[in-house]
Amino acid sequence: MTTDRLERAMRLLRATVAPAALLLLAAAGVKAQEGTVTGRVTDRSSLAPLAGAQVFLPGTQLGTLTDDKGDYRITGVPPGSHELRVRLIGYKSEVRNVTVEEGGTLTADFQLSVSAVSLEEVVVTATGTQRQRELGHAVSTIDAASQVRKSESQSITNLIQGNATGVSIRQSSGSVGTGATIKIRGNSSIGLDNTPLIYVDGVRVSNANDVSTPNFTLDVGGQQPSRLNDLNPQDIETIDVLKGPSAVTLYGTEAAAGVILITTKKGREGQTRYNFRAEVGGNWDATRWGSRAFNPATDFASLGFGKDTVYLMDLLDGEPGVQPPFRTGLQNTYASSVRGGRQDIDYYLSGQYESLQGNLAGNRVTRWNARGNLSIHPSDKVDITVSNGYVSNTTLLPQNDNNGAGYIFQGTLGDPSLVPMDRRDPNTGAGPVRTCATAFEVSRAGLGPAFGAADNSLAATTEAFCGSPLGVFPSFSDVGLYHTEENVDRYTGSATVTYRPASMWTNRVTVGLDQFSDYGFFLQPVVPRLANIDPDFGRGFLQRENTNNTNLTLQATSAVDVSFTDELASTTTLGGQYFDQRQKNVYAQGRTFPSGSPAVNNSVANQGSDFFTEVKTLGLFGEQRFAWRDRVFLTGGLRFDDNSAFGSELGLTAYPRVSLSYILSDESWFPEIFDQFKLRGSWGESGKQPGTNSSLALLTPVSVPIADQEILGVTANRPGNDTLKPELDKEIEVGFDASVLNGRVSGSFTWYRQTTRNAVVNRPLQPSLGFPNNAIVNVGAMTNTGVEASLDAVAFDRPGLTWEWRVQGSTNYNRITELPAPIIFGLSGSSQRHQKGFPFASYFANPVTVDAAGRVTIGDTAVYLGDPTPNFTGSLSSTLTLFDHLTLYGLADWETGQQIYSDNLRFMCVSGGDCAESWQRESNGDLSHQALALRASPLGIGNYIFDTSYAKLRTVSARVDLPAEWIEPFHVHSLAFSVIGNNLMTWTPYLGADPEINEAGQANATRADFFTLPPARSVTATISVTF
Amino acid sequence: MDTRERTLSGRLRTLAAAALLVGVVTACHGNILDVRDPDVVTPSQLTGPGAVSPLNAGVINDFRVSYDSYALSSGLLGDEFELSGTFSTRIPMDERNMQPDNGSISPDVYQPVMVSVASADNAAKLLSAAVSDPDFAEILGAVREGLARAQLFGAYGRMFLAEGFCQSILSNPVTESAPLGSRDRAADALALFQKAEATANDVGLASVADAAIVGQGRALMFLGRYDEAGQAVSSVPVDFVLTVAHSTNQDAERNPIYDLTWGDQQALRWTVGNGTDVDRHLEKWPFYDEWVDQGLLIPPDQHSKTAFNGSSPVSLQTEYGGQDPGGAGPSRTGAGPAAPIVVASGWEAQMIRAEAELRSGQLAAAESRVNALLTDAGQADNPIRRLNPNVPFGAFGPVSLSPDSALEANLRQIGRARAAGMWLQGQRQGFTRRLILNDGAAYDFYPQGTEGSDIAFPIPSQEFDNNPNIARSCPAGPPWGYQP
Repeated sequence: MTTDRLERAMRLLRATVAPAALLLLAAAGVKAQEGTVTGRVTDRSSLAPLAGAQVFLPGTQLGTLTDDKGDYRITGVPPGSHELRVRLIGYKSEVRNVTVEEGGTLTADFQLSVSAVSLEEVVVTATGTQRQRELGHAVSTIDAASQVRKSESQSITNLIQGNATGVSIRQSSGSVGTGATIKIRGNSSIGLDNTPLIYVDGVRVSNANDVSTPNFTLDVGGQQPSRLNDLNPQDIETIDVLKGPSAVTLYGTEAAAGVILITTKKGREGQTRYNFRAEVGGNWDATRWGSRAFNPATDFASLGFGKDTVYLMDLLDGEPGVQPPFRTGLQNTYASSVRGGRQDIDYYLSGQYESLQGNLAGNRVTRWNARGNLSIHPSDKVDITVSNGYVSNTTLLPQNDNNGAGYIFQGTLGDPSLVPMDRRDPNTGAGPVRTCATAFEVSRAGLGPAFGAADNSLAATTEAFCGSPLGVFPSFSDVGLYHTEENVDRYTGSATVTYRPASMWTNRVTVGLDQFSDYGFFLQPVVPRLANIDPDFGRGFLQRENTNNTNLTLQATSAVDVSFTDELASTTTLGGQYFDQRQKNVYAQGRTFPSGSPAVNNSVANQGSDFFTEVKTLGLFGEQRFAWRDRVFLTGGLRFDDNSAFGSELGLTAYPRVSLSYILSDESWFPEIFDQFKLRGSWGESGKQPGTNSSLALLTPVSVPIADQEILGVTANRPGNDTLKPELDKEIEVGFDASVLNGRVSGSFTWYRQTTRNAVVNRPLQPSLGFPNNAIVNVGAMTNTGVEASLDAVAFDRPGLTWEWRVQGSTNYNRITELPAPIIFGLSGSSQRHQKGFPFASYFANPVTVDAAGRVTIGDTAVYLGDPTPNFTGSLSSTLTLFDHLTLYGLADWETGQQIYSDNLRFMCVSGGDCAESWQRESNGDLSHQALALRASPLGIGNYIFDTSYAKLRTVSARVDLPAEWIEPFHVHSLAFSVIGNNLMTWTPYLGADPEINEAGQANATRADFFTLPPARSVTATISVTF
Repeated sequence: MDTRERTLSGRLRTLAAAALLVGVVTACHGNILDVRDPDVVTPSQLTGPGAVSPLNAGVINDFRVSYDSYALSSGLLGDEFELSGTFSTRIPMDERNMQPDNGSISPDVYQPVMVSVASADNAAKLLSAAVSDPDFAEILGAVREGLARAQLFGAYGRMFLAEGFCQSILSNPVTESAPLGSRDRAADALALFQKAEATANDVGLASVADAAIVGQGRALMFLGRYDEAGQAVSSVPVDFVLTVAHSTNQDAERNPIYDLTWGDQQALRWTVGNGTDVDRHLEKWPFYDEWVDQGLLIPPDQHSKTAFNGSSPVSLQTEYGGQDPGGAGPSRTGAGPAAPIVVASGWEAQMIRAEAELRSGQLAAAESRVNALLTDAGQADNPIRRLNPNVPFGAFGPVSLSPDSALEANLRQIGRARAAGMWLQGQRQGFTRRLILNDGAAYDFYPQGTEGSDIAFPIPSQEFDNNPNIARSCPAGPPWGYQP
């Protein structure tokens, strides 16, 4: 480069980023002889070493993490006075001024106090990382590693449950391998998905449910697998939950339902640690089926015996001659990890094998996880982080839910009159003999020959009538002949390069890929004896489906920190993000194949299909933050998005945000009782993109039989919408974070109000337009208002005893404020609706009344009967640590204010007349009004909406860490034993199997109880040893 | 150049590269966001002469779907079927006690009919334009045949709206500012049937022309113009049939009546009432016993099928049954899921003529005409025999129309004869409702008793919630649909 060119470049540089140039020049200065800072970080009360604490010199690139013994060492420290800061999630940060001499070594030990609120904690954001004190919005940060130690969480949702205010998590099924519904601050969208985006190490990953199966949906109802289960909780370091549009603005068009940022474990400087872990346990069905009002009763009306003989049956718990379907599902997990590193390189490697049996035959998960994370620090200006995760996952699922071949269906809808019971022969008095009730009644009435029996004897009628009392199948083991399998091979990886040309300028580029193949397989084998029940058993039926999913993330940010004065500083960040999501699917099915050779190509009748979809998002964003005296932070941000799913007439969409945080506790005039007090408020916008091709007018190709040939035809599908745009979600939130008593009591409070406009709604058209499918339009508005509060307290904190409590709760009130016409949907066709003036997905039904004469009247206008979203969600957890070696942990959580539609009970009372309630009689023998109302159609839906408020004792665990002096002679660093129980108790007014379940799995709005397997109770034991 | 200068220049290049990248990305983002999706079909892909064949086939498909839906749902409302399944929203149809927000009315019957009408009307509009477009000259025959069928199916869709619904309104491409009552809709259908006949005759499509004539007769009967109806259909051959075809190629092409009432499964969701089902109000198909005698119905104790709801006694219809599955006995057609359903037939034309003769006092002519069909076992071109070779010719007893009988009694005999040849063809609902509308409620052939009193489907709430040209369904019911 010539001098002239250099000078021109310098002028340009000074004109644009003068502050940066000044610091660059400073950074190029001659190094003096450097010193070293070393020390140990421990818990103030227990004096236990704290691993993973971040020790650093603010304003420099110097810093490190403490090792397993709590030790740290920072080299290359310039001589002079420095601020030395320590921070660790769950502890109050400490700052100390130190003076390092040329070539000298300074020792600085720290003792940290437990505190749930730490304003120095670092939170992952779209623009990099920020301290909690800088944020104007609420973020729940979960120390996943610590939580896993306490509860041995088996999934990401387990980690979040009870640890993040405003987050509702429901396990919709009890089958292993199935997912949970996650919603943050309720439902912000009427027609689009309300689950949050998931980022792992900066890469957006799929959280899809049941993605493999758009064609055959596995036919297992609400037992939907979740890709979130692919992550191994043992590999997670932290989880940050961003809750609303004001917090997620810079994540763009698809983030309005919140963002969950998962950071996996990285290497740690110090001695290499090898961990081995084994877990064994079991799970079982803990439902008290027998005590439920859902138990089938029977009548003999069709035989003309009146309706007085009503009794309960409980096939799911076993009846004479009926083997119940449940078993104890065995769980085995074996894992190992290696963690270590030097100053310039560190690594984390792990592997895990899991074998999980469900409590129903045919339910099993086999999963292999591997992770390799590498961080390289080639200079103090460059960091390279590589994250690699791989999972191979095989899930077998049983038949259940809205499925006539399901286990719960079979057991619940059986015919109790066919259950063998001990009875005396009504004709001769002989006996007792084991016979079924129907045979007994027929024998008693002397109608045996009329019904095919040889005579009227109990023996003959028994032979004629007694049989399987199950709903359809001869036995539960026959239900298990269906084989439903999903295989997933998934790689999620990212590489992030951070380049700091100067201490004030940070550039970061992340490239990431989430790629997985999801292979579904359904087999109905050739079993001729069952052909009469399902003809596919006579010929065989199979489906194979493979979906390749690719999610590509590219993101780059550049941030410049400038201190204008000692009191006023600025951080400017510019960035861009590109996201490309592709899905390729191939499906094939075959019927009629040789027994033992189930393959599509062996089938006589086979069909196939394929599809490809792609959605791309491009976003450019910027953020400007001003800090005054490091206690007042004003932040403004703006993101521009474009998306391939937007209508062709729509250009860029802009999402602004602004936030303010004020650390009042840093002011001398603020009451000293507060150790920390941050007042915060933020306002921002985010959005949700329409679905793929949502803006296009579509036709449907159809095969038309004409003159014994199949001719191609096209028919209308739905109208297009060139002006389709993303939903716009606005949010304002205010709140505070505070701690008192030296961090022993801390809490947070947040009030928020979200407004959704331009809601993307799958709006029903008037049928007379002639489109069979709905239009995708921007209509409607919805609000969500609520508060979130948490309180953490250290009840005792002294050597040998630490007792911590956490209670948190949140409210959410939702209203649809604009919608031109109700959108009616739900199980049974019309059990739910979105309607102006009512909450999202409310239950509606025509009222059923019974007058004094027993006449049933069905009202003309459907009325509101509740909604499935809880108004109040909370949790209470406690951790008791005794003698530093015994840790007891318990978590209870609750949700109130939500209802569910129990189609179970309706199914039995209305359709079959086989529920006990529908046979209740008045003293005069007439059916009770309640019974008449329950039997009334269509209706009846109104009689089957139930309160599903609940409280659950979710987790109780005990962990013993053997004292170091016991194990060190064996070169063992740590050795721990744990016993964990999950889903131990439930308190609920709901009479169904469980208040959390949903036959529609993780569906956005539909919720009902319909022969779903409830969550299992489990107990596991774990041993973990580290060398 | 010293080290410091090189460092600065490198940083400068970095800045410039970043700025360039941002600029390029911003300028080219439109291309970056281009996606390909070979799996969707948009209207822009369907133009020119190549579109005629798929367009015509699409009209046939939409009509077949609508007719399947109408035959099923109107049969449930008209008591040809009884529900043995568990859909809570279909129970009110069976019980004739519906609300406009019933979740099944629109998807099960109203929407398919509307889709078919809009499909046919739009195709007719396009094809009418194509007739005079030189680009379509080489396929003018296909264009005109498609136009005739589109007009025919558009007219039949309107007839289903007239017979099955208390009122109706069209929005695409015909835009009506207010709903039409049933009679006005029948008149609308009549006009289009006449157009279809003319177009079909122009192009030499005899079957479409005959179907259009039968349709005219059906519309005229609904309008109470019986003599005109009888005269209109007099030219239709006795052996004429027009059917919608089914196949086992894809699930959507199967005969839905077969799937629900015979099916491949053990447990059936729909059946024919035998009068013993307490939960279904002891509903009984009026000709149940005779149909059993003729082998048109297999009673519950003669097969192994069961009801999906676990309680209803199941009787198997053999009109669209399969080949002796599970010992259930033979069907009339053996075609099972691929069995066609008759839309219009010479039998219907003869019934129209007979009823017109009855109403004009020509009882002998009417009786002779009906009995020729019921008892003529030797006629190979008997429309039933053509479709169902196993039909027991001669087994239907003759009608006896007497001037001493009340009109109602004679009409009931005509109704029985209609059922013999037009059973499960979407005819009974319109016939029984027509009698009430035209002759007074005394001629209510629906089963009496504990069922509701609906005789037509209400306009579903999805229509009046979203269509500014209609404020609500028919006047608050029940009974829905008594207003013509």
